[in-house]
Amino acid sequence: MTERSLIPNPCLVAILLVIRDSAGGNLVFHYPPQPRAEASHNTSTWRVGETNTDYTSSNSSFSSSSDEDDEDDRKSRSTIRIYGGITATEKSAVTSQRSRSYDQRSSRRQRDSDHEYDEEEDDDVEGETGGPDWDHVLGFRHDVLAGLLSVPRILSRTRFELSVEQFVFLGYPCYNRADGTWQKRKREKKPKSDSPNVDESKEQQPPSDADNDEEDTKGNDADDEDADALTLSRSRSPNPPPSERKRTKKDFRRVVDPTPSKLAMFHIVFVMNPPQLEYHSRMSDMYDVAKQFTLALKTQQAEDDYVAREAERIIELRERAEKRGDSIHDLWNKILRESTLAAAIATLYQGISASKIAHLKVNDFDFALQIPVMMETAVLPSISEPQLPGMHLSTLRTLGATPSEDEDILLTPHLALLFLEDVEDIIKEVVLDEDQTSLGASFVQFIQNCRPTVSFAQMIQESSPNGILKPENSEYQYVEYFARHLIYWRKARAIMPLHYRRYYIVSPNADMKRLVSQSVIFSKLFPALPPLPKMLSLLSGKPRPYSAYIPSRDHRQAYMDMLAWLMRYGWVTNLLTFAYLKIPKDIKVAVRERQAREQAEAAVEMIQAASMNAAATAAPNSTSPSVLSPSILSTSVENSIANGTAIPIAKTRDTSDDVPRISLSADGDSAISNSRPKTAWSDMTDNSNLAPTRSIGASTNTPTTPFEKPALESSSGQLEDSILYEPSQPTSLESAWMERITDGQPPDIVVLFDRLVKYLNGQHAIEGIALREAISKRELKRALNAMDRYIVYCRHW
Amino acid sequence: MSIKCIFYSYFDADKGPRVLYQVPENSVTPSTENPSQSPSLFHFDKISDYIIPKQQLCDRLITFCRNHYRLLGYPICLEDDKYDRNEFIFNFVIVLDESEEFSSYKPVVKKLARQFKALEEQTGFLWNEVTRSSVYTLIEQVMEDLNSYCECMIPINESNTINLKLFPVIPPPAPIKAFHVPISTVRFESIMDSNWDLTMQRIIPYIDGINSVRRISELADADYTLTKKCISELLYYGCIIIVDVFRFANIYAVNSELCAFVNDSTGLHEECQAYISSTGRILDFPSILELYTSLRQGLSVAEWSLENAERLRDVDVRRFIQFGIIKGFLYRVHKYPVRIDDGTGAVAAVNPPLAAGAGSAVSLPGLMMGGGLGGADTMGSLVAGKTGKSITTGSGILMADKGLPLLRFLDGAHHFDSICTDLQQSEKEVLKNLAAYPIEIVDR
Repeated sequence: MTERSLIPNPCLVAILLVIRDSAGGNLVFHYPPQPRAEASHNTSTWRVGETNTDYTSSNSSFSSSSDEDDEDDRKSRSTIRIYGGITATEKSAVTSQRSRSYDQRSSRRQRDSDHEYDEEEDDDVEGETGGPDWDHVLGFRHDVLAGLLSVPRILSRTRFELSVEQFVFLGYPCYNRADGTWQKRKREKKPKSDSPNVDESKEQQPPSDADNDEEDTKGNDADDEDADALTLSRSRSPNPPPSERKRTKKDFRRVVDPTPSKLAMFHIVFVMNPPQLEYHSRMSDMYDVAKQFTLALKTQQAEDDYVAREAERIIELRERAEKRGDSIHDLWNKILRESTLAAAIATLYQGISASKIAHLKVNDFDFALQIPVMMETAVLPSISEPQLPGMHLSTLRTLGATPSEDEDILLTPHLALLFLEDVEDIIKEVVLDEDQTSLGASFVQFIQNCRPTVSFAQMIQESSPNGILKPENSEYQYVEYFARHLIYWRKARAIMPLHYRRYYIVSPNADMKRLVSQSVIFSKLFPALPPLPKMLSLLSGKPRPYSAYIPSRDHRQAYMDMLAWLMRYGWVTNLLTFAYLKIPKDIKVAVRERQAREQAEAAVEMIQAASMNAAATAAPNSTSPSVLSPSILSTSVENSIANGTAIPIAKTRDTSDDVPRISLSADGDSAISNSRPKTAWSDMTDNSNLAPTRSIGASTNTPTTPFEKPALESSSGQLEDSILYEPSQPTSLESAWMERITDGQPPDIVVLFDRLVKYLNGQHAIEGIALREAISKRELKRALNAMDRYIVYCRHW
Repeated sequence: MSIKCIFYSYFDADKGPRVLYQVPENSVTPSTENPSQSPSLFHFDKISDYIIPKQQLCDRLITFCRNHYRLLGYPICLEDDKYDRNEFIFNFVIVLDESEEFSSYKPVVKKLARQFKALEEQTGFLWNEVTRSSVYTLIEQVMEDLNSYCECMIPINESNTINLKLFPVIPPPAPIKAFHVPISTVRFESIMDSNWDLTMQRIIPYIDGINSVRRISELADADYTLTKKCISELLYYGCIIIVDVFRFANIYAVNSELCAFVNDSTGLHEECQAYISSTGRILDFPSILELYTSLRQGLSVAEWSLENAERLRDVDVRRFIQFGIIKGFLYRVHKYPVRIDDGTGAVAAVNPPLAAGAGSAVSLPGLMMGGGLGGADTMGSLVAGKTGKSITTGSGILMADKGLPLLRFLDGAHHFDSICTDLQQSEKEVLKNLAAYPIEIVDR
């Protein structure tokens, strides 16, 4: 139910900055100036980028209850200081009155349709001047919110998650140290037992407080550990690029004057409104952003009291504006101009709420934050599933933003990088604040060298012809690092290198709604080529290699460039080939007969051995020549040998605990093998009193033990063609089949086929095999052609 | 899914926020005999601000996370002279694991709070020390029943009963389109009775896996909007699945889910064999697989049937295709007619008043860049229907009149299924009406 949706939806309503100092808690700044609950519903559950109208109505009429509140009550109520909030005396009667009218207005708005809401809001903005505009945020009174969010110290540096009706407040509150400073003391100077965390917990908590759970404490330590060398990549992001990680401030560890800051705590709160069924995934995505942002601010606060200074400046501006009676828009513009922290919060809000990357600068420290988005999917959504138009389709386990187990490390060096933006723009962004390091230079060089037609491996070989391509290769490590970096920051996607011999089809996930706008761009970019609708129409027919569309060799480069463009915007997808191994009936029959023969021979040997060892082997109870059981094996084998009848395959499997793998047809040979005990033949010699298990002549068999059921099926079941579905882990019967199908092939084909067989499970693109196994395409083709009768091909992305 | 703890807390005029009853004991406050021992879940005292909040925050659902537990509460504030400080704040809190899907508990918490509010208002149930002593048993019962049966019915007195039930939250159904074809997954005749919605009763006989939503509303003589709503409702409760209109001219191809179908060991193969058989004879699985994989882009079902006539003798082609669609390893390749500009070949912008906002907004600048005079001409011809290239060809004016409603579908965002059901014309008729216009057909 709560599975991750592929559609980005940040559900972000607002970002708040709450601090606590000697005067108590204060909501210093929030962005946007007048947040709306509906803001979070800008993306639909059903389609990327489609405005959703169906579910907005579910917003509850949240502030209605406060309408009925009696004003006097409220005033009297607010004098009780349960929370260290702003004292009630700060509120004049006038402001209360105004706020009351605001309440009524906002509740009226909620009854109105979205459209009317917009108009009315504009009216308000123009019609009303005066401070109290910002005394209510999201329908809460300013001081109530401040009290709620200036959390007690016990919640410092833990995940803070509070919801009030539909709003969720998420954050990572940060308190100063017990001694009132923010600076981390040097480890060397302090014995470990005296670390700040211990101080804190001693002071704040009774010794055996369960609330101070182990994980959080550890988390604190870790945060302190790397607070200085802040990498903004604690959870999922890889290291930021040289450009973004770079600090302009060189004197990073300069001595900070040790006077304690006035600031006791700051708390960046992300107000969200996630859809119920996506609650957990949306929250955890945002928490990563919240924590990274908070940690960045904490570093700056520790360095030169940055947050405290900025907060002070904002409060000052607010007080001045209140005296002058400025409008909320004037004030907010002023704040954004004068406070870099406020500007950063605004940028962060705008970026994140649009599912984009937010490029931030706090106190001359540059970094970027984002909620990572999915850029490709293997599964095409069905007609009744949320649609993802424009998203690239591929089952290839390509390179992700971070290394994961899903990746195919043998294949990744053979992938190429497809840029999703113009290379010049990407380079510009890198160069923009380049700090001349060699890493930055080679990063730019890498970007320039990347071609969607050239795999990483080829790239490396070009630059250093003797470089051996291995994942361990240090040069490759760099390439991979750069590639991942570009992928994480949405600049590129890893693909199977484009080639004119490959097949490309119009992606079933192409965003047809963008056809009109994109065809214009297309004809500007490729004026000499057929227009976009024509191209797509050409690619619509029966799949053909891409070269079939290229009129001449001279056109090849232009057509490949166009292909890259089509891939970039998800218009086309690479049609890959997958294969299954089919075992025809005749092979099974042949194997069965041969095994019967072998069994008989083995049995004869066994009898000879057994008769030498023990006297108890021959049990004289067998009357029917067709009954075979281990206990009476000697007799029955003798009989069957005498009669020339085939003995069913008994020793088929080495492992009895495997789940049945073949259920493709009514073929029972594998079923029996599943239930057979391990190494039936060797068991038999010691344990000669096993129950009878099977007979050959199907009709004569009457099962008496559970053991016999599969036996019955096996012997009576028709042998049929079937698909083998894990050729890499065959049962011994399956191995026998596979051996049999290569009979009569030249030895080199047999060897090759043995290597290939593990790919014939419908999950590996044939196009990747040659690269992965480092065999030539011709060899691969030869081997597959030789075995053509046994392979079922299918084509998808 | 289960409730870890339920506790009842209130604001004590002397002692502040207190926990009076908790199930199980010592979950959120230390026991009185052994105060040094930590409560098993978390410390109530540290976070009591979020459980007994200010008055402004009462009467709202408040959840809070602590120590990997999620607390769901609905604080109630009552005002009366009889209370100390003239008000009484209490909260019944349900504690769950933080990772738990908690949406179905939200209405339960709310209802529980409102019920006790009503009880308190009627009889002073919680304020009175005698009656409130039963609270422990009540919340214990609620917790046990909800954990075991997902519902509870506990009588309190002759006029009050706690009736709670956890309803699963189902994701909203996909928007229903006119060309969608519903297939039932249940036997409607066995579950439907005369109390059902009238439109529902009318349309259900026509849900046969062949009729589109539009066609169903026509056949049942039911309002189209109501029909759509009914279908949507049925989809929400999983009584139907949605497929596309089956025609022999359609194109299908396998998708990446095929592998899961082939590797299935839950009897899907047998189900498939039985479902697709028209004569009772069973086709072996590799043949079925080969048939499915031979479906491909650019090949209509009709052509494919001819190619595989021999193997399809015992197969119902419609059911064969439908099985793949239902199980999700087959996808429909839709045809999108795109009207192109004669001169440039770019998509010709169509800008009638009915066209969708987003599409037309981008198309205007597109026109300017894309074709200059030619583009403007076409534009004029569409809107005014008097001048322009397309009109001059053949029986231009007649064509334009007939074609006009359909021209707005030619921006590439509409496939033939959608156009045909909207215009209630066959694909042939549509193509005939389009004959005068330069179009490209994109298969997707």
